[in-house]
Amino acid sequence: MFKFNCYSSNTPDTHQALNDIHAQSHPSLKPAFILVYFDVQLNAHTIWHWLTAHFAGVPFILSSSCQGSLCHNQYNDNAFATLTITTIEDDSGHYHICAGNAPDKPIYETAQNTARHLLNNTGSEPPELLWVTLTPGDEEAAINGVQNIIGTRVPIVGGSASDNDVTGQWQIFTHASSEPCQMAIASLMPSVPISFSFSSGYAPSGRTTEVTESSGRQVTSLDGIKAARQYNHLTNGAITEQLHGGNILGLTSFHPIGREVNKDEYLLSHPERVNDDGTMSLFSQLEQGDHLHIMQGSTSSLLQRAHKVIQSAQNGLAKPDLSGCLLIYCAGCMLSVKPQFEQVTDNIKKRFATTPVTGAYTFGEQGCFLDGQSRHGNLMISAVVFGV
Amino acid sequence: MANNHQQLIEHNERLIEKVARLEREVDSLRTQQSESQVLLEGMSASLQASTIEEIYQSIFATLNIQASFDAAFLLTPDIPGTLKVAATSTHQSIDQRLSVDPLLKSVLTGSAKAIVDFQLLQPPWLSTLGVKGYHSALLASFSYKSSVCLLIILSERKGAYLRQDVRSISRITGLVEQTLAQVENRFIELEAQQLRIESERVQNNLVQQDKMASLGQLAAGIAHEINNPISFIGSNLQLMQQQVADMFKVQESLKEYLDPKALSVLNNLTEQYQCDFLKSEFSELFADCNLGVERVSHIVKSLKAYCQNNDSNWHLSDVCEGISLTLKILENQVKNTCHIVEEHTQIPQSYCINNELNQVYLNLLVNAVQSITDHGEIFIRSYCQEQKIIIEIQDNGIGIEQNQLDRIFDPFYTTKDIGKGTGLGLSISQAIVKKHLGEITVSSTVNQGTLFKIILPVLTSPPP
Repeated sequence: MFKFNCYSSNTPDTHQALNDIHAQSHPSLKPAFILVYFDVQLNAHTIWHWLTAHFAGVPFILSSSCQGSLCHNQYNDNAFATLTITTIEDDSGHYHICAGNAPDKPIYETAQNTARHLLNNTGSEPPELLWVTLTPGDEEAAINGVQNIIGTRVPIVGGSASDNDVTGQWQIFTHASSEPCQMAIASLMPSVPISFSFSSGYAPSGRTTEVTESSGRQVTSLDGIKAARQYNHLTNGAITEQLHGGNILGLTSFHPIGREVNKDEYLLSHPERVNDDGTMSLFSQLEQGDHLHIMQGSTSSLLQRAHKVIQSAQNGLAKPDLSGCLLIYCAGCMLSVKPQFEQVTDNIKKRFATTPVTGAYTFGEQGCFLDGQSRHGNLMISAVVFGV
Repeated sequence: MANNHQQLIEHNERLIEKVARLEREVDSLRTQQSESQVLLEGMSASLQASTIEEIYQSIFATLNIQASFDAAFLLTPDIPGTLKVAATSTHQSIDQRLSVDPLLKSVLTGSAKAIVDFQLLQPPWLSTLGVKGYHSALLASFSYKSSVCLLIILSERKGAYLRQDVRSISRITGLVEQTLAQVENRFIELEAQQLRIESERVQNNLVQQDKMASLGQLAAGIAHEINNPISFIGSNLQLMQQQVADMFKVQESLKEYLDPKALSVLNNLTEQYQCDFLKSEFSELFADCNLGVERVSHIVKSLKAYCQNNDSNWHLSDVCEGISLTLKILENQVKNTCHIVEEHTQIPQSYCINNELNQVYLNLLVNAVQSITDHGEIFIRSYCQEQKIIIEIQDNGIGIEQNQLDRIFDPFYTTKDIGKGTGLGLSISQAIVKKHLGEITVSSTVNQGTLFKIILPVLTSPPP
């Protein structure tokens, strides 16, 4: 019997939040898998100890989410819960979680080791899906490391941990240790069918450019011109005031850079900063020769997007009935439309009134497009739905 | 203006979303259609296969389209706790025996399974299969002939197979079971048909053997019954010949003692009854009768020798002794169709069962005679070569096609019309020659003739 539930609290007091959760959950709850998102205002260690005490032996991921998390169920809707706990009860399913933490080693190697450890737990059987929670920074390397061990066909979905103000306070834990880790990977083998979707709330503007020089997440030039200047030109002056350097996250949220990775499917990169030398830093890697689209978005498109991504995932199921949904919503997008964000939960409530939905606001999104390839992107929305 | 623009973007988004959804549905339908098509074709190919190996290869071909692999193995149950490789896509490791480890056991008793990377498991049977460099696998079981078989497909890529492939292979193995059941029914039907034909042949053969045995007994009885009258016919003929000769001597002697009148009467009577002619004619008639009696005696003697020789014990004798006897039996069949040329050289005596070798000669000679449609020749040679006795029976008949030469010693194989041959003669002959520790070979050219060679060792004692 598969059962997906989510519980939330709005209080900034950790103990109170946990009491709220406890009051909502059924005493006989025996989950096989737990996913917890918390606002960094709360005390992660208190939550960790509470989880291990209340759900001894149950694997869980505990991750911070930017300015709260989304929790929708048939009783309440919370767009910015300080604490959201999602439980999956599934007698016939198999769930494993492994943590990776080796700050002195390359992230690629840590990801390899974590994936290897996970495969050992599954008896080398492929999971239906890998749910990843990564530390912002070099997610591409982490995904490559995982795929080097597990192959490229298993869908990888998840989001990067985040904090409230991009000051590096994000945290990831698993049931295995009260110490934070660099990544947590969960293998999901549920007894019900699942489907997923990876999308953005942006459309191509018709303006394109090409990366002529780059290094990792830093783009030196576009079309042979200093990256910041050319980007500013293509976006009709979106970052004019920061051309000599500075944070441009807020300014570029509606003008991200997109790569068409599949027909009408764009993987977005979010320009983060203009460096003193006129180069630009982004939240994901671009390669020299990449053909880029300047994307355009709006408050309305971002508010309308979440439920559409869930619907898109739902379309992948043979039967439309849902047991629950895990949603990853870019924190950058959320911050851009935060004043009106209640509309997102309203839209979800309208379409999925009785379906529990858990959402995290992340600093990087991982998902799988229709071409079956899993990628890391920015300003994206990922949804995993569980059927019945 | 901005609102219009936003509405256009949203409209565009909705269209893109709709197209994406439709494309997804079309892709899904195409995949299902393709899978159904592949499975149907595979099933059809399997049903048309004439051997189980062809069926296995057809299954592999179907699988390779559905779940691309680098190597595939099909294992059937062997002694308890093991499986044996019955077929592979690589045509290697056939008949290798694998121990059933917990992984294989879980598939045999449970459901299909995908393995991301063998490096982590290191199953011992990988080396038994003689494969290297493979990472991922898909394993599934299926039932065939009341036993559970195992299908293993391997890929050099890590994580080549997903849980959806597990579901796919489960569907395929379900169809494989149905296909094999149908093929099995077809094989059973064919086998039953073959058994019916063989049963009829055996029945015919038994009737034929019964007939031959009866004929043998009859011939032996007749030979025995003829032997006595022919003996006294022979002796009486000789006596009569003597007495007639005496009578003619009496007639001649009388002439010296008769008066002229009586002599004239005797001469007239002698002339009237053509006694001089009768005197010479009697001589020829007696010669012919003696020849006939001698011939009948000879045939009777041969028949007795052939039919009454039930001694199946080993004797030290001339292995070619029976050839002349057999030729006598066949004399009537042979005389109008072919000319027999015999070339025999001195051969050592050897332990043999004469009446069994006679059967071999009879079978080969009958075949030789029947292969000659018009006047032809049959050469019978016997000689000794390298301590072996060679008996050759060669005809210049119609010959045997090359593609049939391998089968002529098979039981029930015959090219003769129904009722004219049981298809057992050559297989029995081969068995008899083998019993004598020898071999029988054949070479033939269509329209030129056939040479059978019986090669027998010189046995100084009966074989064990």
